[in-house]
Amino acid sequence: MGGTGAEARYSVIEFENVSKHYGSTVALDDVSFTVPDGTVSVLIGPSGCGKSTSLKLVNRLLEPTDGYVRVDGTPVREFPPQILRRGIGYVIQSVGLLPHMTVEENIGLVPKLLGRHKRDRSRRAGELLDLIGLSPDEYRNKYPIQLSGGEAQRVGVARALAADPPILLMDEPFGAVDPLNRETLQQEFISIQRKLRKTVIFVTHDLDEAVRVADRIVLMRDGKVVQTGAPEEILGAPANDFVREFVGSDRALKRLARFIVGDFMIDAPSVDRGARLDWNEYRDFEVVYVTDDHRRLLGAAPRNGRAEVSSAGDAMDDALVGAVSLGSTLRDALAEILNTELAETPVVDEHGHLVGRITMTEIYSATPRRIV
Amino acid sequence: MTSRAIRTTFQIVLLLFLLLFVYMLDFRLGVLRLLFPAQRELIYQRVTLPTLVIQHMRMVAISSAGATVVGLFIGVAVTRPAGRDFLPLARDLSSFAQTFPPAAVLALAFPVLGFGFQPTVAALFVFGLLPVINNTISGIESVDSRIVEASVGQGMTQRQVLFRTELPLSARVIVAGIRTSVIINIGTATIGSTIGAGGLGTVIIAGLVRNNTAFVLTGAITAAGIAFVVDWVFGRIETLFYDPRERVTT
Repeated sequence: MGGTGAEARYSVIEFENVSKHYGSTVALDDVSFTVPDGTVSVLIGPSGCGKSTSLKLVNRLLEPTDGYVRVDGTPVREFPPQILRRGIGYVIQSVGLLPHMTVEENIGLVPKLLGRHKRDRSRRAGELLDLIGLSPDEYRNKYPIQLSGGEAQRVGVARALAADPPILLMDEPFGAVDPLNRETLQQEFISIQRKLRKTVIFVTHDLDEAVRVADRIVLMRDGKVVQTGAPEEILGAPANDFVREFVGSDRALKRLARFIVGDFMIDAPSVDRGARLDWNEYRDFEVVYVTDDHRRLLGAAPRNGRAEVSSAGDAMDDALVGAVSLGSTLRDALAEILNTELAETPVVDEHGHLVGRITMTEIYSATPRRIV
Repeated sequence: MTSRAIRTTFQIVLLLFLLLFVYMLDFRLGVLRLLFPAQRELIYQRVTLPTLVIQHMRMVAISSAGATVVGLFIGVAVTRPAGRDFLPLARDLSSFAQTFPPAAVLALAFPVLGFGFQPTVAALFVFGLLPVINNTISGIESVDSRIVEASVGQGMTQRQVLFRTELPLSARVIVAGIRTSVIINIGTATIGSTIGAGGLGTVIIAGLVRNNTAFVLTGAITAAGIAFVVDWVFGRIETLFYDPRERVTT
């Protein structure tokens, strides 16, 4: 368990043949999986499948009936529970903030239990509020009741990160937030995770959320692990009918959300707005993109119904300016293709520069098919 | 004037009246003469009213302090995992005991503890214990179990969960229990005078014996006035603590 910065921040969580019984009820039945260092594993399944139970075995809120839960190879039951828990960030739905403490006191909770000085706790709370995008001056002294659902959830994440633990347990952390805010929180979590590289177990019942945040998904049902793998694997090759039904008939669409446009785009033909557009030079293309002097995308010139040779500016149709950004997913790209009159969508970088395009061929290439 | 300002004004007037009534003989004489023009003997002569107030409040303070400490201890003990088996028993006993008339407690206490101060304090202690136990249990039980689990999950020890989460979140309910206990005791302490404990009951009983309503009222007004003021003070103390119904808007 990482306590000081000098230690190696290496953390693997392993479940080995773990069972949990309540009398004759079996909550977990011979569960085994591994969460590799610095990755996010999402436990997902219908309610009662044992996902939250599994999570609570890691910080010893529950004890297994059988089997081992290990952190870095050491069974968690060898750690005193309080010491173990102070080294594991724990995020639950917004109710988990202590209502009689300010935001700063909530964030400083674990550091205080670890005996850190008030000045250090206050500084750390400021850093973390910055990290989660809340102004320290404005939020430090607020009480949880004064926060919106999304803000409370961010503070919950900040509290879990306060002592810089190598492991995070997140139990439906964004469950109490409306869908729009949930997506923002997921994006923020992904970008924070990219920076911090924690070993995370994330419990949810929302498949879209799982697909978005997971490195690996552990799909559970009735206390058993049904399938584990990267989201694209599970969506692409469901192990049985239960998984197929769980991921839904739109699983191919969900799967597209795992792929980034930047990895699939191809070169886009383009001409400067002032230049001459000669379709003989673009025989293989249905559309040519028109840019300004700085290669910023202005619009598209479709082939059909146009003169063989014209000025690019004249040939351009202003209405055809939709585009996706480099970091978007193929799902976004497909949505954009369906939105426009073209059979493809241009790709732009953060400055609006044309960098490529995505056609249905690229979409298909990310989709597993037997006959192409 | 807002309702709050009206209340504050009323409280200040009441406090002033009480102080003047107890400590300014001429003022008390004036008030009583107004109420009982026919009564010749208006002032109880054997013990001064300030002395009776001090005797009275001493009984209340000792019994309520004891009830608060012991009641809190019992309430906390039966909500711990180790003591949870005794929770229904504590609830039943305290409900049962509250149906007991205070006079009966006195009657049972004085053969053991004799006459006077001690059995009265003992009776008040038993009687004051119940609201404290009840409210401590309800207060702690009303803390959202998910908040407790969150506290445990952050790495608090059992003791830290009690002192940093459960007690701060239930403090308001617990103080309300202490408030009830003290107010009940201020009234009930008057019957201690029947077994010679002194206090404001002395002048009330003297009035009943001698058919002197002015004496009865002297004791009753003073006890009621003190109860009002103490209640007001506790009301203020309660607001210092976390209110679960609070909805702050900013």
